[in-house]
Amino acid sequence: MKKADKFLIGAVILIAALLVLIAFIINWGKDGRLYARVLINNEVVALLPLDEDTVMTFTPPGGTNVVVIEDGYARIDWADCDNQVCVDTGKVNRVGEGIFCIPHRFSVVIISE
Amino acid sequence: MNMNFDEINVDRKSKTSRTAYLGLLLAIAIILGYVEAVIPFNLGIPGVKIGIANIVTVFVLYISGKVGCFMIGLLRILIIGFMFGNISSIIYSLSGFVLAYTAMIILKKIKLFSVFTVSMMGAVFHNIGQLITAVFVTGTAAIFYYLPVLIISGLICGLVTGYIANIILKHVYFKNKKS
Repeated sequence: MKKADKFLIGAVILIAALLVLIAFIINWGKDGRLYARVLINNEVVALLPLDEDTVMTFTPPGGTNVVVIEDGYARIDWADCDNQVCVDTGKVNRVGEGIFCIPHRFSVVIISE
Repeated sequence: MNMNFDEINVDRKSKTSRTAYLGLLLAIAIILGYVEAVIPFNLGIPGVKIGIANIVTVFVLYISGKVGCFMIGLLRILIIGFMFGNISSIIYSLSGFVLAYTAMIILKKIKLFSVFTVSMMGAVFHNIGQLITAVFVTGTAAIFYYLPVLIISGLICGLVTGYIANIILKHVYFKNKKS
């Protein structure tokens, strides 16, 4: 590897680290009650508090997604899309974290009060 | 590792030879795309693939150049897309490819970077391209939360494909140099 290679790769890693830091600073101190904001086509369709266990089924265009709130975490338990990325994402509970089902234009994003 | 691959540039061979070379490479790219569609290598991050078909993209970029690389990439995406995917997977692949291709062409032209870096940046920009498309398609800007993850995973996947492409380039290059 040459000097230029190391420089460019280092710069890209630095950018990634900076982005993480920025996301961290933006969400700093937001420790109010947490909610899972459910969006279809970027329109809010539900606001589920993370401290209340719920199971809700949504029917965005193109399919079905089942959102489960359990033990302070939100996850998509089931979806009928073919890539299953949203189900594989697992559970989220930090502000800014999200689960995205791109084929259904469906997303769950954690926000705070 | 500073190598000049111009001796085996297929663009300088006869038209027939070039067609044969690029046709074979396209077939390999399609097979690799098929292998990855059938056996997804799970990397622990949902939605992230190594992109082994990009080994061919990087390889062709060096032994053929801009035009060959673009044609192979475009045809591979369309053929794999129509065989195993759908319209939306084609749109995602294309947007990723166009950005990755542009980044790789520029980096290769600067002549300061090794095959690894060209491949790694290609993978990073491929991910960025797909992310931008995802934001536009779903209209959800919160997806940008994934950006750091995709940058790092792009670096790792690009290193893997770049490493393999580099090995192949080295062998083909030396073989040609002897004859």
